[in-house]
Amino acid sequence: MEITRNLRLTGLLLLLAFLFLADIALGSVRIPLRQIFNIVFSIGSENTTWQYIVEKIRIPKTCTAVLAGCGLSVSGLQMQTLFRNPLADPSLLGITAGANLGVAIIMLAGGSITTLYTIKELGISGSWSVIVSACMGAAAIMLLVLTVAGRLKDNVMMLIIGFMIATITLSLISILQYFSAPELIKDYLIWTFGSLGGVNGSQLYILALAVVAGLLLSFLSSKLLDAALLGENYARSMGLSPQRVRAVIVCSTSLLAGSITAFCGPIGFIGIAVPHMARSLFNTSNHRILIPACCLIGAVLMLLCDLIAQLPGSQTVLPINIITALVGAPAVIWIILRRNNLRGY
Amino acid sequence: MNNKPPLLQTMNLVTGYLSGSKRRIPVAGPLDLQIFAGQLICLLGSNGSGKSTLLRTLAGLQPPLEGIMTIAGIPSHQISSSRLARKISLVLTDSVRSSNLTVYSLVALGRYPYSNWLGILRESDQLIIKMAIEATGIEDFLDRKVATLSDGEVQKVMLARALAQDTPLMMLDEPTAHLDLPSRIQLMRLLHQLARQTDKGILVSTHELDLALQVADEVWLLQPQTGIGALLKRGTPEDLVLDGIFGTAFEKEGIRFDKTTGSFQVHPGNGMLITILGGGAAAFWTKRAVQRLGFSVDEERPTALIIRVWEENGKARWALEQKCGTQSHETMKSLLEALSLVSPIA
Repeated sequence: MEITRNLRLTGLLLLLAFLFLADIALGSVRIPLRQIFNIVFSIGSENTTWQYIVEKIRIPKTCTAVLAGCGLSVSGLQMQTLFRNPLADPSLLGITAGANLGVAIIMLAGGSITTLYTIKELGISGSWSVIVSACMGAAAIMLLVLTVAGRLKDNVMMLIIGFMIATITLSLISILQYFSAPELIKDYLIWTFGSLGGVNGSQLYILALAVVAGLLLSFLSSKLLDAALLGENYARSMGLSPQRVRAVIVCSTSLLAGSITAFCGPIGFIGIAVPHMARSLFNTSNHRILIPACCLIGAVLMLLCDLIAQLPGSQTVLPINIITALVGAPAVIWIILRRNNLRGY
Repeated sequence: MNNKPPLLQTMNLVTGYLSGSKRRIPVAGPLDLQIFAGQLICLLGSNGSGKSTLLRTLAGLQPPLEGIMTIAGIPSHQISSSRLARKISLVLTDSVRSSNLTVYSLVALGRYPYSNWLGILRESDQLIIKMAIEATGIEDFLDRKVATLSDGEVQKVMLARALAQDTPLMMLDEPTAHLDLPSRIQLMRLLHQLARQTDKGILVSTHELDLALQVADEVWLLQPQTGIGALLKRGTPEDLVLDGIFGTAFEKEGIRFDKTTGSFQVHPGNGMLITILGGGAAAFWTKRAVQRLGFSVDEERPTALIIRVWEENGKARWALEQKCGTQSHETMKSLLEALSLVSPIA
């Protein structure tokens, strides 16, 4: 078992390295592979345009994909453990919608700092305001869902409530949109399609900082997450305080989902599909193994989605959100079919 | 037994809930209870009598409304949750099937209060887990997912997890629910042995009255009272039976506790009187059969209707004596057919 696990780990690492390079190599501008290598390993290229494209656009975008893949997967894993629900995920339970609302408030109701574009142009302070509002929005919705979850024992009911909360949040956003100027709405709508390409320079550092902090917090509390698998009463009987688990998970999930949503738009389905893949691939429920596994698989899947989004050989780039939904939604159907009865599975 | 200090002691404990703005809903109490090492205590009571609430209160999962509770001599509110986890382990009715855990990792979670911040198990932890697995006999399905186990297997696994937690006190909330009869007996016997061999104090809430009477060192009987919280009668099971407390606690319309057999009678037995003469297993089962038909068996004096039971070449034979004459029967079936013509209920 240990051997197959290591074998799979090595395989995933190799796949990740390959996809990482492939994602840099492929794009609307054709750049020879040798040149790509030279630029990536900082030997330099004679063509400054190519150098610019690779350094300033493709590498940040690929790094963003890896960060988003890791962050969304781990936040999905944490929520599935916390709610003891195989279908819990930041986008399904409205956490992403909460982050969305935070961003919408800044973008649409922001007054003087009007569009996300200008916010991004403002540099670090602007990025921080988007990140903070997105994280706060995510945390607010997460706390709301948690309050309701305490009263419910039924998985399906929980999902319906999460869906309703997401709907209410999206309605609030619609009201904001209704009263906003058309040009603001257009910017906002483009943001909601989701994009990995909008993050560059200092923003990448901010995103990386937030995601790494969230992942670290999650990994350090992997023991708490293990005990939470048995439910609140058992967790308490083993000396674990449920408030502490909730606080940790709310902090790290809103940090992860909030920051990624702020910069890349709402990206769905990665958070729900990847934890299941990690569990079946590594055949464990130990979070010390699952968290790194989710990071690896999430990064691989996200890079793959990004590669597909570029439609290799064409000039068009599809919104990343659409691709993750196309990949993730069948995965959700597969989970439901495999589990048969969701209620007591 | 009683010269040792109790593992757990309560004084004037009132269990219950706080509803909304400080409105108290007492469930049971005031209770003065003790659990000693090596004792198996069965907590009995009808549905809704507050068994689970009492168990949850004693386990520290919910605060008492009133009173004092000490665990190993320390007042419960002064014990940190991590220290309490080394004193009391639980088997609850909460479902654990959704956890996607394998049996081994579930049992290993029992070492949670002792492992370091990353949850890495030391060799001594592995040893205790192995002992817990052997004690409960679950070696054969360690690699299976909990979701694929039967109810009986899940209970054994949860018991193994509680054993791995290695606590002097153990509390189980209706561990025999949903189990078939052999599994129930097996589990209760296992608990009885554990109390003897490991010197743990074990508290089990259960609906298995006859099993509880057989294995318990002490029975706690919760009796709901209208208006106020439930009262608790405690004592050696046999004392409770002989004093009639056991019988009155469960007596409902038409259901009676039979002191001589230690079981409940399903059939009301208010029909025509009948006398059974004879002994052994055949007489016992004949009595059961005629009671099912609605007759009342009169043990003391002969009645108008008499059945004689005896054995012939290792087979039971019956003779039915009525005013109009005597018939003999070779099977219970023909006897019962003849009796149904007598029509006891009409």
